[in-house]
Amino acid sequence: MSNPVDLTNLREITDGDRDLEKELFEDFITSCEEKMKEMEDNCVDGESQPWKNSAHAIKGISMNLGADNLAKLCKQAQDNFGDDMAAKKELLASIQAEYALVKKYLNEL
Amino acid sequence: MLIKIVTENAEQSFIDELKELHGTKLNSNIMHCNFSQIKLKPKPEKLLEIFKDILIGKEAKMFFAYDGDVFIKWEGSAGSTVNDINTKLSNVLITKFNIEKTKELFQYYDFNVHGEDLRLKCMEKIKAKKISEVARDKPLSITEGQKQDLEAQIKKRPARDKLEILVVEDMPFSLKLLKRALSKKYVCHIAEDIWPALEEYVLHAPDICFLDVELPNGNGHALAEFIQSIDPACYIVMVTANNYARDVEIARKNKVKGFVVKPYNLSRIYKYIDNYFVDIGKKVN
Repeated sequence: MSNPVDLTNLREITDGDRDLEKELFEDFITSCEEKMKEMEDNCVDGESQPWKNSAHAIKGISMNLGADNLAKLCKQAQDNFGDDMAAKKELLASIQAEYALVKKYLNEL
Repeated sequence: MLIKIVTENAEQSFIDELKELHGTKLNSNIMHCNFSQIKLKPKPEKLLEIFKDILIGKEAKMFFAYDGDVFIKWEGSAGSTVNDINTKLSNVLITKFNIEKTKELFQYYDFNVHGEDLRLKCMEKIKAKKISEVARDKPLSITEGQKQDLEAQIKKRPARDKLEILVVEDMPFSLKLLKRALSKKYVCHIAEDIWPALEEYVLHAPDICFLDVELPNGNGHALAEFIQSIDPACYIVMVTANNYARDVEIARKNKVKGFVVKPYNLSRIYKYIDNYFVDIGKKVN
């Protein structure tokens, strides 16, 4: 099974600075958890702009981190922001599960 | 958990808390952290981690105001706790946030002496919050004074020793990453939202501006269009996590110089910097 994160691109920028990496991972985790909470709060039937915005925000930082699967799931959430509540809940559960893998991976580095 | 975090409507909650303290004989202490004065602000989780070590066994509440300021209230003795807060928070700000002057960032208040001052301070914040909420929908504009400042900066631009770049990005993770990529070689200014970005632009007239499309209180395209109107020689590169044709089309209409789709990548970023030098007819530094 491949890693949930590919840090090649990020490390090209951080240039081996472990302290900066740690700080970036903390920022990533804080923002993801804050935005997933917002998605949870906006898991409603029909269009939800806050749901879309939060999914977009996680997508952006996931792409920059190299967490491509998480970014793909968030893109799906962003594109389907008009889905019903059940579909949103199912997708959010997948996002949360993928996020848990990413977080575990980052914490074990 | 003895420390409670308040982020929702924190200014009013803090005023309510002060009201409740009236008439009690509690020894209540308040530390006001003026984080609105700095750009990158410590997050609630980070502060909680720090304060758990300082306020051992004490009941405390942390109120996070809309502008980044934090009010920390705790019961009990003040003396060594105030010094601990000053020392530990200063260390974090210096090491993690590269902030040199931390002395004026923290103000200590004894509730029994300064309760009313704190209430007034918070009332001011509520007023300012309302004004900023109105400003969110306000069309972008600058004052005559700002226009003159910008013109002066634009004149100085060709003679600068180092390239100045403004990065506008609302997510701290991505902002720090892009700042890191640029600040080794260039002077890097940052902003997390549309109005602070405009202020930074006017203040520095950057050579290049990397501008996120989606911002909390506005749209990057609108800012690009406005900057184009006040500085026709501007060099703006839009950045986004979306690859929508509509965004590319708007960006073209706004005459921006490029469009970077995340992830940030050094070669793509440097490509735009090289293009800038080619555009202005200078050799690449």
